[in-house]
Amino acid sequence: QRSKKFGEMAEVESAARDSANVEDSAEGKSSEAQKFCIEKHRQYVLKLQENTNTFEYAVTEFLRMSGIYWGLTTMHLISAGDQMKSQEIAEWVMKCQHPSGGFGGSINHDPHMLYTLSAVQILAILDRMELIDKDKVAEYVAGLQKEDGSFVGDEWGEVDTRFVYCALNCLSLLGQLHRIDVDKAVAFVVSAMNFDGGFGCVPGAESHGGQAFCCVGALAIAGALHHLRPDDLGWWLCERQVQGGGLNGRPEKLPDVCYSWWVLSSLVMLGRADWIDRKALAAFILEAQDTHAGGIADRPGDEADVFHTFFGVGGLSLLGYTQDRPGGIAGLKRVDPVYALPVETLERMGLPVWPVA
Amino acid sequence: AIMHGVKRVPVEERDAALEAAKMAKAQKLMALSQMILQRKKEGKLDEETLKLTLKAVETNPEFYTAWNLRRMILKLRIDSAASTSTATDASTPSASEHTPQSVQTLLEQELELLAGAIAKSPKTYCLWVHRQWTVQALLDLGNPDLLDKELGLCAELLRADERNFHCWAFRLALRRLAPAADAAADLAFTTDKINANFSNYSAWHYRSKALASLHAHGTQQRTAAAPAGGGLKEAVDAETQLVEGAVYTDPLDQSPWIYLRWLVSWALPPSLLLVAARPPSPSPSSPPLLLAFSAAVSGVAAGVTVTLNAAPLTGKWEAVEGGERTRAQAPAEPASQVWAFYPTDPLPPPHSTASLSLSLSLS
Repeated sequence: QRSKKFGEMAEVESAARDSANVEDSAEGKSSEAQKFCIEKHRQYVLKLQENTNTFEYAVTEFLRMSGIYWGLTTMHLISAGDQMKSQEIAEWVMKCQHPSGGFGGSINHDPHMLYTLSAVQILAILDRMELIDKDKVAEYVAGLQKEDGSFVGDEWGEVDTRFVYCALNCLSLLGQLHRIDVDKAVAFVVSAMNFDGGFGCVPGAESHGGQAFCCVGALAIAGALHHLRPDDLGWWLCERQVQGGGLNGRPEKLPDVCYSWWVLSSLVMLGRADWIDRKALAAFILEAQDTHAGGIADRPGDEADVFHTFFGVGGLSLLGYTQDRPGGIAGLKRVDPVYALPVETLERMGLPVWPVA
Repeated sequence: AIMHGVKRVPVEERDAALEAAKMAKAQKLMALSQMILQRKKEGKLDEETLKLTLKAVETNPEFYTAWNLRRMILKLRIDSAASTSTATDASTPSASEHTPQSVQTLLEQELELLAGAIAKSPKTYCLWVHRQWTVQALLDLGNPDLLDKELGLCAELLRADERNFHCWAFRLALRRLAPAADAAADLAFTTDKINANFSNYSAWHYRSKALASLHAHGTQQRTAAAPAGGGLKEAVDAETQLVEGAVYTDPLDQSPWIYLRWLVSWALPPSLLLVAARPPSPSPSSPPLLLAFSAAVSGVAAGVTVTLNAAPLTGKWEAVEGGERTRAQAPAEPASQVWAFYPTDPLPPPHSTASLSLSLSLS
């Protein structure tokens, strides 16, 4: 019910925004639509699948599963999902699964919560969930919950609020939330709430934009958003916007395109996305594009990578620059702020989609 | 796949020799990684694997499987040393070459390795997880001075980067391992940090925790002994002065303002925001009387009297929060911002001339 209330507030915002967009479209394509080089980004992601000889590729082998999720989701959001080698990807994902049911970051890498979520997200997008034994994967994830409701990343016991989000997202996609104690998970997340309404990696730790996304997202999936202090947190989050329009993750830090996801999706879930300057943020993301080789970087002038490309594209989508909106970017599709998946995927699976903002 | 602060150099402008060197390095790394994963598959938890994983994590500290392997090997040696030391028969040859002393040395070397790795990559999760594991393993072996030593290292690292949240969280974990919580010491640590730099949001955050712990009031849990210096009012006055200093130094810095907003709501007692009386309804779940406070309160059943025409009403108080689920798991003395009252006898209809009043006496 609470998420419905936030959704209703979001619809009020979107009406206000639509009236602003009408101005753009009256003169033809919006400036944002003109600046987004969608075809370059498609080529960029496709090339990543081929450039496997780089130093970057070698040192990021441990997170390949998430890298593929970022690339695949990006392509689906920019209407190029059919250009990905879907069968190869699905087969590779399955090679990363362990007898325990969990998935590692790459073949023969140890199973971990992070990569188990990415694996399930990939299979969800590819509509290949039939490849996994859902019970087995859910058992692995549920087995990582502790007495106090928290989740560890793996058998080595690192506790982090990120893993609560991963567990709830993953189990929700598998239709197996009943395997865990959701109330205790919620209680743990709430215990990580700080003086500023934000959340840290563990109870007592400093608020961080990334953890905000994980905690708000976890509460959204659990239907427990009422525990939030939306005005306090909304204020802390909107204070992440700096002069140049970009968002940082914590006070006094540099803006980074990835916070266009972590911070913005949190604001969307709080129904307070209008607390930031939408056009300024869009301009920052667009400036961070590599208009020559494609891809998006952490900030203007820096080297692009698939992580920031995904979050930049996701950010623009959440800001409402999707093809179905006036002033939108042709080919840009809607992303869900809670599951970080294309809305199309959730609709196909019959999962709840966050109301449009 | 994730790059931060790396300036873009167009492909055509890149140094060919440098690129070739990087490619060679990449191939070496891939080969090393494959070797390690193969050894893991074959169950080779030995000295050679320790050597190889050391090499790998020096270039690639985020290679978490390598750290997992190191822990598996170290754990084997710790367990083996433990069984050696419990052997009571002096004539039995030592079950293994590992003794508590040799394991102690190994773990100390691991801390050395981590110190170097953290200095190079202070924000890599794997390193802090491994450090915590290693510290715990050493604590299990004794090492009473270790916690203070580690706290000292944290203080050093925070001098270099006062916003490293990994280090602050590690410090928090260390403090929680200490035999007794010392919120006053934690508060003092944050005072130093804030006086050194008012814009240290991390310090303001940890200050809020230390303060709340020292001066827990209302429904908050007091986890520390009250300080000798005085009570809540004195503390709030001191905090307000600190905030003023920060704000005069740099009015545009958000840290003290966000802290001040919290300080005000935390320090003020809860106030009654709303009283709602509804007409009698056949629905048993529709509460006739609702009270909403600015903060969670408890002790409502004892502290609130509802009177109708000057006669006190009997009834049941229930905390309302989030609906059905919360009611089901209500603790003995719940704290809630919203309370519902169900009178034993129904309230009079809305247009009657009855007078309903409340008297509150909540701590």
